[in-house]
Amino acid sequence: MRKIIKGAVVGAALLIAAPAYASGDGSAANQGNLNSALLVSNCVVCHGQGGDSQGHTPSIDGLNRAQMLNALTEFKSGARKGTIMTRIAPGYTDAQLEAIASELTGN
Amino acid sequence: MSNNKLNKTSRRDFLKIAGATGAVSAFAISGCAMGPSGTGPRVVVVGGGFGGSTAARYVKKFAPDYRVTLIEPKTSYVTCPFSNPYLGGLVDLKTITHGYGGLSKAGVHVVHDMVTGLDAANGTISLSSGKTVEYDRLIVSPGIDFKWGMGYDEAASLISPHAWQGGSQTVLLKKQLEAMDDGGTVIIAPPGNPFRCPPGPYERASMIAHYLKAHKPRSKVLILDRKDKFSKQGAFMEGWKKNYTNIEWVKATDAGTITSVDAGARTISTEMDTHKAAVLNFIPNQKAGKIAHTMGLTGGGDWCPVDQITFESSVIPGVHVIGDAAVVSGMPKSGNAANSEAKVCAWAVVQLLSGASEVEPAVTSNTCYSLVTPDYGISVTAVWKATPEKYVSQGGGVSPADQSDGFRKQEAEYAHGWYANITHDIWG
Ligand SMILES: Cc1cc2nc3c(=O)[nH]c(=O)nc-3n(C[C@H](O)[C@H](O)[C@H](O)COP(=O)(O)OP(=O)(O)OC[C@H]3O[C@@H](n4cnc5c(N)ncnc54)[C@H](O)[C@@H]3O)c2cc1C
Ligand code: HEC
Repeated sequence: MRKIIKGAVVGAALLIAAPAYASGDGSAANQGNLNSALLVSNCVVCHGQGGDSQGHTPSIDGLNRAQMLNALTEFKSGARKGTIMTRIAPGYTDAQLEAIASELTGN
Repeated sequence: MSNNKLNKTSRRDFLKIAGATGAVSAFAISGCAMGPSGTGPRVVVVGGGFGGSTAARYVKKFAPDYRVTLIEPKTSYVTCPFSNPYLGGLVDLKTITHGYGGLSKAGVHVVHDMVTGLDAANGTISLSSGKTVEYDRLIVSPGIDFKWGMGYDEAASLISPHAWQGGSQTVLLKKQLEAMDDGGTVIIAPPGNPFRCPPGPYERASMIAHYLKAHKPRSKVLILDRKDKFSKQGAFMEGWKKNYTNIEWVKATDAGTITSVDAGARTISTEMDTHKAAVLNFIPNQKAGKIAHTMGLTGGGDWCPVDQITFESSVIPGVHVIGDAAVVSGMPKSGNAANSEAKVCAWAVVQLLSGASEVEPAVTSNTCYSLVTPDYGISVTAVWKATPEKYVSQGGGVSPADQSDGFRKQEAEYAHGWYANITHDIWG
């Protein structure tokens, strides 16, 4: 019972945050990017939050959407060499890579 | 995508009540200075390790108004990841120690206390301080406990450490390696499946061999296994062949069943032989962390069965279990997996508390880097799609064989990069 009542409150709670999270940074309030919030959360463990790497792995916050998608597509096809992205990128569908590129670059 | 529809409805509702909610929210924040900030549902997380800390942070990230509380007895957390490079002398203790300030800053209410029990009917947990905490959904990530036996118990682990939990155990093992005379044998006895960090014992062998090669060149590492094969075996073996003459791996069939362990004498006996170690690192078989058993989340088994899509316990509704303690079919028990499961679970918890009747299965991933030498790294990675039965691999694999020194060096550097970024994602 309690949960159902809470559900109504949550709807409001989520949306209070909406203005601050309008541009795809992972908030559930960001309706268009529901799944991409989770998809890009797979990348931050190596590339840093927002693509700003804290260590030896490359930062990816400087790439625009086309560059990002191009890199991912080339890793997937094998046209671009790497130590690990050539194993990771094939794990995503082309549509998922598109969603990831959009979420990470905010467009 | 029923979630979308639901949330769209919520948005309209919100617009109607926005003014009123604003006032409530201001009141609630000033009125609860000692509790979690926000006015939304209460999500309580047990355990501030890889899984729990990530879950707390990501619930707050996905739903900033939720009241999120993290309960963890320790005020700082020493990671197991990179504890092997610590044994090898590559990083210091400070590098692998993390505080909870970052989580507080992210809006998580961090309580340093020990959880002692669950009252699921009333939606509360009890703490060792005597306090009771109410939750709307509970996320439990208590890590592992050991199946003591064969003469090896907790008291024995203070003499010959397993070092399979971070902190004092790891430090003790390092001190013993430093104190041992040259010419001795370090025995590592890896556990049987399933256990935390499948490549861990073999990275440990590598890092100890690296230390011995430089400081105690007449000493060696003997791995007495309880398995006949292990994670990234080909890649480890290739790396050992190239870099070490002081590692010997004996598979279970050849080693024989281990019958007793004497931590004081530093001996380990099998049905065939007794081996004497200068430093003994016996790693016991494992089960879910103690509190998971106390709470009844294991359903009488060793680990906690969960819904593979939401991580909700198959035994107790409203309680989710993630990380090493959970049965997640297809995924290894790793820190990266715990981090990934936490994100998927945080998402599911927010969806469920928003009234969603169904949660879309996630696509998630894991990578385990291991250092063979400071300049020789290997990895195994996977991308999975959740299904009700298990996590189905969509891609990934182990580092390819026969690569250049440059390739291995790059992977070693990226291993450090992974560590820096995942710990920043969790505790930064
Ligand atoms: C030597 C070694 C090397 C490893 N290397 C890697 C690696 O390179 N990469 C990788 O991905 N993984 C690695 N791992 C695995 C990784 O450490 C674990 O998989 C990970 O810690 C699991 O996270 P968890 O949240 O399930 O448990 P933990 O991280 O152990 O967290 C559990 C937390 O719960 C707390 N807790 C327990 N009981 C209670 C209670 N009653 N109340 C409140 N709090 C409680 C504990 O204090 C602890 O902080 C390694 C492990 C080992 C042993
Ligand atoms: C396990 C660590 C790891 C994960 C996870 C990971 N990456 Fe990478 N990424 C790397 C490394 C290492 C490189 C350098 C190329 C190589 O060696 O494969 C790289 C390179 C890249 C590049 C090229 C950067 C440039 O400057 O040209 C892009 C783009 C990228 N990754 C995007 C992603 C995205 C998007 C994700 C999530 C879907 C992701 N990565 C997940 C480790 C990782």
